[in-house]
Amino acid sequence: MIYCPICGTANRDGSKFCNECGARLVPQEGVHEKGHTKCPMCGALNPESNEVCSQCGARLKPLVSIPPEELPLEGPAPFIKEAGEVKPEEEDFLARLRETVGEEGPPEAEEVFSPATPEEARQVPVFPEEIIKEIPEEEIPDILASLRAKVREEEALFAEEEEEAPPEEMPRVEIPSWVTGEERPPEEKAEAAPEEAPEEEKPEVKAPPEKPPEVEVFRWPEEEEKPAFAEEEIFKELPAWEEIKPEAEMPPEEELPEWLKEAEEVKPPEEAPPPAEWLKEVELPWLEEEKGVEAPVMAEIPPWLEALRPLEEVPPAAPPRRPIEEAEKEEEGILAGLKGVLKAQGAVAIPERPAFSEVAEVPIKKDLLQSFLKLAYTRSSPPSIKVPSRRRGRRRYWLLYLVLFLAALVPLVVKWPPMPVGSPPSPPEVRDFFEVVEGLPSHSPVLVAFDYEPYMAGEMEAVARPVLTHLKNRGCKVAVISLVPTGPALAQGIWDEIAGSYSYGEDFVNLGYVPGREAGLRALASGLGEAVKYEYVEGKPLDSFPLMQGINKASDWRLVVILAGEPSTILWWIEQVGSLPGVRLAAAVSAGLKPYVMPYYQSGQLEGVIAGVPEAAHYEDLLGSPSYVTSFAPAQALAVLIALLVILAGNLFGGGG
Amino acid sequence: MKKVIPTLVAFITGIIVLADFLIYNPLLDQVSNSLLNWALLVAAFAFIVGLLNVLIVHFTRIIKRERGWPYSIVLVLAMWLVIIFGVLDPRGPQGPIVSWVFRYVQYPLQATLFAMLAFFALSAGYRAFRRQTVDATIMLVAASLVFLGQAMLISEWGKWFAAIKDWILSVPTVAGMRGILLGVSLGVIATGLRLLLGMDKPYAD
Repeated sequence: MIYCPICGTANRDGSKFCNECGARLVPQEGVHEKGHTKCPMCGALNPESNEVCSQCGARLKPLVSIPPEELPLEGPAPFIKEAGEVKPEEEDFLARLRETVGEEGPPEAEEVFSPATPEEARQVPVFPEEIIKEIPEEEIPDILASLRAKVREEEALFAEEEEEAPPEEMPRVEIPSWVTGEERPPEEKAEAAPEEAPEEEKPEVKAPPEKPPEVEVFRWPEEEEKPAFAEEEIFKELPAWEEIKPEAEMPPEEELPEWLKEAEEVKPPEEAPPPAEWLKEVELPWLEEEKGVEAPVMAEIPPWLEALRPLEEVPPAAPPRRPIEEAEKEEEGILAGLKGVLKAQGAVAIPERPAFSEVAEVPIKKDLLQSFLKLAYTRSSPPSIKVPSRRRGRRRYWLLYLVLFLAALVPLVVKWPPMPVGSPPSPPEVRDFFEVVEGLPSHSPVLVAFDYEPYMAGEMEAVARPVLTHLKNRGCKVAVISLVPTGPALAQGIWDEIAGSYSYGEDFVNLGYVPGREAGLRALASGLGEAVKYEYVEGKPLDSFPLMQGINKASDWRLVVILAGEPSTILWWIEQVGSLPGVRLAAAVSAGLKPYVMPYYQSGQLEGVIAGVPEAAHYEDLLGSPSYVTSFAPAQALAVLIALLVILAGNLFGGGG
Repeated sequence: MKKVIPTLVAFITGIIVLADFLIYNPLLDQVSNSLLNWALLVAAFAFIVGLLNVLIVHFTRIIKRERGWPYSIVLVLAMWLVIIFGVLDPRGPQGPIVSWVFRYVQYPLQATLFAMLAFFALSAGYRAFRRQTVDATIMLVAASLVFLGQAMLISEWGKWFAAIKDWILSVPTVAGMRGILLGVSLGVIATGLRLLLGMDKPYAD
């Protein structure tokens, strides 16, 4: 982690800039690598060919300025029409036009004229007007007719302008030097001033109608060329200069515009207004402690405001700053007294502290300002940020894992706590399962489906064992089958452990794996021979086993027991096989599947249900020979209790997260 | 034509099997059983296709030296060893080598991985199973009672907690689950009809 020197935010290792405030985390390198250009903005090294920085996009090479005379001319498009663009109806007209013009002819098409200014564009001979006027109206195409109309409009416009144009003796308005930006030499100014003053006093200079005073009429330089007003309009608005008497002349200062008068009337600033009352109460600790200035007299502070006053603290003494030249001198070690051994680092990279005098001008309330000043004055290092310790979190979870492991292991080793026999009573679905098996006649054929994978074997074997034990005790003929490829091997292993010595093919047979899921089950329901041809262990035909004699369809089994670890398989059995008449189903499933199978138990489609290790323990209890499941059921119960306590602790104490 | 023929085959097959489910007719039953046998053959052949696919994927990883390619070598070698010994042994999958591999390699590995789920579930419950909303609080209380019904199996007080647990699992849980199953069944009927009528053609993609 890299901590930002400005805001203290923790950033990833290798970060160059702070994710929070964008401050630089890696000091700028002062070395320029050969063949690289250092960005002036972010300091990143870029290849020399880069024009902009690859990091921040700042320009690395200055833009090259092109002199105006080298710039390409830009203006209206040349008035050229290429030969290919001439319309067929215009061709004849243009041919006759060439003949008419004769030697004078129209301007050659190769002479491309690109006017640089609008004035030049106006002077371009768009088309010889005399030629246009000589052509009869009916022979002129539309394009030239519109051109002629335009020419006439322009002629009319120019005629009007000539009539309204001011006379040649119209005085040109002199532009003040402060407008044009030109500075007159001081001699000129000095000469001009005495000349103007007496002229104003002379009565004949007062106001000749054709020479209005320069100050009264002002135009911007752009308007100078073209006359904006007719002469009469200008003089109509002017005052009658003959009627103005000398004693009624306006003083020079009154001729100034209004805004200029206001500017002159501005007086020098008075003393700063007294600070607000709330600002007087602000304590300035640096004034008291560093400069020795007496604090202002404290006003009466209300109790609620007094409560907000920050505690007085002595600020840490700032280390005295030495000039860089002095700092370069070594004070300790063998280099003591030498200068320039290590170059002292300047204070460029140190962020500036806020200027308190500026902050004090911010119009905020006294308490906020006081707390802010105190915070800014006493803070000498970035705030420490609490980063949650990953190691501590891991340790906490390892502790939880250890507790769970011991809760499951210790009861298995020390055989404690004992499982109370007969308490609590078995659930009704477990009792029903037991009664169904108990009610089977001896030597009844029973089909057991091992539909779970090896990863579920820890729980499912605990459920399967008491059921198979009960069937064996009842003298049932058991055939096992599976919808998962590993099911037959699991079934064979359990039956070998339970039955001990048995006659394969007479007491027990392994029908193996049935592919096709629902389709396989549907074929099994229609006829056993359709789904299974050979048994699993010896690979013999099913007819060769005494157990399989007389078994052709699903209803020939006196009971079908489903050992399912997943909801899909038990639903397939119920839908494809359990729906046939005469088929009895019972399910022994993992604890998590109980909600899935209970609706079918309540509807009668399943005649009994065993779910999970606790109910398997109940089943063993009903059998009257608690052994396998009862030996580890207390361990599981204790582990469940630990899990419950951990979850409650997480809720009460807010751990983790 | 490319879409019509698969749709027609699917429609006829589905109608025959569905009719055999509802109507008893010896001829219909024989045709339906034949179709189901074909389905089993296709499903078994899918294993061979899957085997080839696994080999192609892992051979590609080995040749290209992709990440974890040594594990692909282990997988391919183990797979071929089991297949060869299972085919050559006259007892098939019940032979000693294949049985040993299943009993002492596959079984413990899968069971171990699943057992670790208890630790993950514990840490997840510690961190996330919080009473942040009313729904979460109800769920937390119900789960705690079911946990107690399981855990108090070892106690004399267990019958009280077991009764509460059985009620929760038999009444409110079954009520919700029954509604879900009914909805799923209606969805299965609708999907089956769409497949039969050719409105959905997943086989034609």
